[in-house]
Amino acid sequence: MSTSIQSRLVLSASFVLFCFLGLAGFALDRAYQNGAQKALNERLQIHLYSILAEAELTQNNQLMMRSALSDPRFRQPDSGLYVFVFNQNGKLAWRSLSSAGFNVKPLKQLTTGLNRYIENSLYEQASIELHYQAILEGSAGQSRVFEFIVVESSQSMNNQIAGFRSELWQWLGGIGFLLILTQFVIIRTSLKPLRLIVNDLENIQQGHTQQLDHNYSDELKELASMLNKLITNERTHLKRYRDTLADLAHSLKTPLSVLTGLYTQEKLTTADVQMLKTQTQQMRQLVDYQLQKAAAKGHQTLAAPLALQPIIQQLIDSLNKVYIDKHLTASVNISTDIKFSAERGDMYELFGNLLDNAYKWADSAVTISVQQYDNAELKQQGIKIVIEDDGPGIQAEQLAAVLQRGIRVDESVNGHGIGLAVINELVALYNGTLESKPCELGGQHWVIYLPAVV
Amino acid sequence: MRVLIVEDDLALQEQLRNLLTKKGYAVDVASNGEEAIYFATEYPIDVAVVDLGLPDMSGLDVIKKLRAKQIKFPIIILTARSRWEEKVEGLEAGADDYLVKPFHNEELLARLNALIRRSAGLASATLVCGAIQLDTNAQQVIVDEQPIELTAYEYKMLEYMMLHSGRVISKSEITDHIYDQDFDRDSNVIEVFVGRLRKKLDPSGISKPIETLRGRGYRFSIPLNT
Repeated sequence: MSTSIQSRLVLSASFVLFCFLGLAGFALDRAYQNGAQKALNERLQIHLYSILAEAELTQNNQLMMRSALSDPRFRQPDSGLYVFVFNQNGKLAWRSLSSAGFNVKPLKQLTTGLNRYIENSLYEQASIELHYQAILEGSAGQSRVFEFIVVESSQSMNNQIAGFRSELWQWLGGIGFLLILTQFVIIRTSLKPLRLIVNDLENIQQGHTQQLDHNYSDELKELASMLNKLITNERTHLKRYRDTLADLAHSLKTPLSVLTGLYTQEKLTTADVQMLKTQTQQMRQLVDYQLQKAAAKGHQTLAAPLALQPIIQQLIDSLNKVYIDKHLTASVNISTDIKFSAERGDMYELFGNLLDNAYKWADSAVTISVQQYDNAELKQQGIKIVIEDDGPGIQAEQLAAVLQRGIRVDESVNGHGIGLAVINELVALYNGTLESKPCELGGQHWVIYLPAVV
Repeated sequence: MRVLIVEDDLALQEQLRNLLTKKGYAVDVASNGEEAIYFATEYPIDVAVVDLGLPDMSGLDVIKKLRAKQIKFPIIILTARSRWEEKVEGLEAGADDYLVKPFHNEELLARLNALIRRSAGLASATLVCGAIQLDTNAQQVIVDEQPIELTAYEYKMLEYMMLHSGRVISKSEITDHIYDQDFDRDSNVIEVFVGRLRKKLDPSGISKPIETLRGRGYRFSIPLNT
């Protein structure tokens, strides 16, 4: 089957239309045919009554017609309307003048007073016979049984039906053609907005426009809006990849220059080896940080909200395994109902780095809680993440450096690796805020607000 | 201790083999998943280092298959991918720790030591049996508060015996755990090492930390403080 929506619609509508018109034509044809048949039967009945009214039994038990039958066709040979009357012995008792040259056979086994219609062929002429058995009584009180047969050619009825049928199908065919044409026009007009959106997408692809900016039909407005968001997301991701690649290339140049300077020396001193170690460590951190930054995706346009509890539980289980020697107590307070529209990998990175940092520094306990918040003043909703540990905490000046956005890894706070820098980037990507202060019981208290996407 | 390295990159494989051999481990090397499963099933491995990107099957599948066979030695994952989702996946598959490439040798050694210690149910990095202290991180042995010099094999033999103190250890078990498969089992090297260890640990012959059980093997008789 064709993949075009227009062809599919036209084909299915035409199929339904043909079925409907075909069935309607058949029903009308049958109804007309039955009506014509019934009219012919009624006519035969009327002829029979007029014949019975004229029939009389003479004193010598012979059938006689009082006067000529009213319909002149009974007197005109080969007129198509004939009467035969047979006596009880099957002998012809009377016939109309029109029946000269024709013969019919009596049925004999008839119930008196009941009509019996038979379709027959009278010398190659299709005809209908009405057989009727009647008892005629003479004036002397005698009676005799006769079988009256009224025959009418059905040729004229058949011609009438054929004429009707031909006219009916011509009309239905014409109507069908017009309806299909109308449907084709309607479907084509209805699908015009889709063609418009396809043209606009092609224009975007060729760089002529940036967004889908036509006034689309109501049904397509939501689709256009989602596509615009997707396009914007993709552009943002692409820009982030490019920026990250440029940043990475740029930031690797300094340690590479140092390394180039080192290998041109004939002999390496202990200080040189230490320098080699520092520079390779720095390059490793740069690569890790920039790759994680590039991999971050931000709010997802079409993704379903993500349940956070299973992710956090998985991370806690994993970290419990890795930090088993520390015998830490992890307390998790998050409802299974809490969901957030974000990319799964981003949430693993955010919670993974936060928890890893807490596990790394904690002496005996780590707590994490995630709640939904609704700030009426800022007209903002989202999730609030609180993580605490009972470790040594971070000194105020170090904290300022850690929380400074866009911090270069080679300037990152010693001992905190790139985890906090990655957290900072992710929070900014989700338009969130990150706060940190020392805990009352020692250690560090982190609060992150991530607003829901509007 | 017998370590299995599962790594397809020949340069890194060789580097790891040299590093661990130098540190006194008996090293088996597998370049793909099939080989890894064979070694893990056929040899008494104490700890494994598994790279996730193998040619025939993923390192995760190797770990899942080993765990499905009830093989329980600790496993550390080596991965070039540092995303948390992947780390969690590896730990859920049955690994005990992960190390992201590139890594420092000291970090790998420390993690391996920690895993071996953890699998023996010890919390501290220092094994203490009476007056004998063995620091697994510094690979240093102190007897009566005096450091003593041990060769790499002597150190590994002592570490294995202390980790399994109180239990009879056959000669072949010691051989399996401190030598790789090329070792000549008919030689008397183990007896020589035991003799040297006795002299270094107990020069006066009073405490007698290593007992010989004729026809059965040896027993480190001083209990381990856990």
